[in-house]
Amino acid sequence: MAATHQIDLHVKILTLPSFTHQRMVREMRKVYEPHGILVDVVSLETLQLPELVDINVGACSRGALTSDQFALFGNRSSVPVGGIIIYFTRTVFSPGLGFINACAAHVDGAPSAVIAQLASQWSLAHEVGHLLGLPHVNGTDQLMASSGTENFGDSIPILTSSEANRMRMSPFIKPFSST
Amino acid sequence: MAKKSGKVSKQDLIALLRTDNYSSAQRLGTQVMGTLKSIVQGNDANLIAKATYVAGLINDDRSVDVIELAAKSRTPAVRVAAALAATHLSAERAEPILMRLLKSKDVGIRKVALNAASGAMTEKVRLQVQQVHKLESNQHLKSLASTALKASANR
Repeated sequence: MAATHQIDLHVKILTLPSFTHQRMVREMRKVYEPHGILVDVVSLETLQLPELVDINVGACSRGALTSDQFALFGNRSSVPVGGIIIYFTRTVFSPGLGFINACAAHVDGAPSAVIAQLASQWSLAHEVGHLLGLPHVNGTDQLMASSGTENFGDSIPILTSSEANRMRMSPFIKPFSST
Repeated sequence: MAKKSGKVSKQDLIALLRTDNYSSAQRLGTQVMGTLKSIVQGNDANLIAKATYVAGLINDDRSVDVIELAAKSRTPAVRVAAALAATHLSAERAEPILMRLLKSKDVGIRKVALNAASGAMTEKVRLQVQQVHKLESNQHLKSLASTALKASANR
């Protein structure tokens, strides 16, 4: 399918992930590009914030960000309004949810997600799906599976056409321009 | 999930951990403590961290063995999981784990341990948190130590 849309990612690394961000982007492209959605990393920054490498995300809920999340998301540097930022941290946790792979709860209008060092290679694709408006689904072989991304292994998870259409409606994705 | 005998296989438990289904894993109770320990003795850091957390949720005397193993791990993320697991232990069970992790050279581990200590303030832990407060160079952690001490004083 010809490219119709593009996602620009701004990557900020507090801890290097086990699966490199380049690998995660490659895996993400395998899921998104068949739907005409291109993925690009437009900025990369390393952050030295030792007190935020282990981030408490509370309920991982959009309406209830923690002080850790507010502090981390304050590090936007020159990312434009609406730019998607992915923060790679060492751990993502909450006393209630436990030890989790990632969380996409963010401040309105400032789409951001945190991904833990030990997360799977599909975590980036999954979290960006959330940032572009996708909810969890029940199917275990689907990108947005509520059961997470660890069971996919090397199999490419499914992104449905209706999910891709929904993402195209997001204000955080832009029409593709070849110029 | 549970077999007719009531036993749960290691693979069943791993499947729950892989899907972050911690509440179901916790409900399996102390019968899985041996399996959790064997996972923590393995090589998969992600699974080890999750198994450590579940051991904390179960909050049994044998949880301490499992979490102490994780607290001694060479993988920092696993030590963070040990600190997080201590949040769910009774204060007496959490004490040996927190005493180790509050002395960590790693800022992130001290941070999570301080959060756990605020709910598990035995006398030994209180003295250690006071030490952290006195010596900590990271202002955020110094503030966490202060908050933990004040909270325990009000209990």
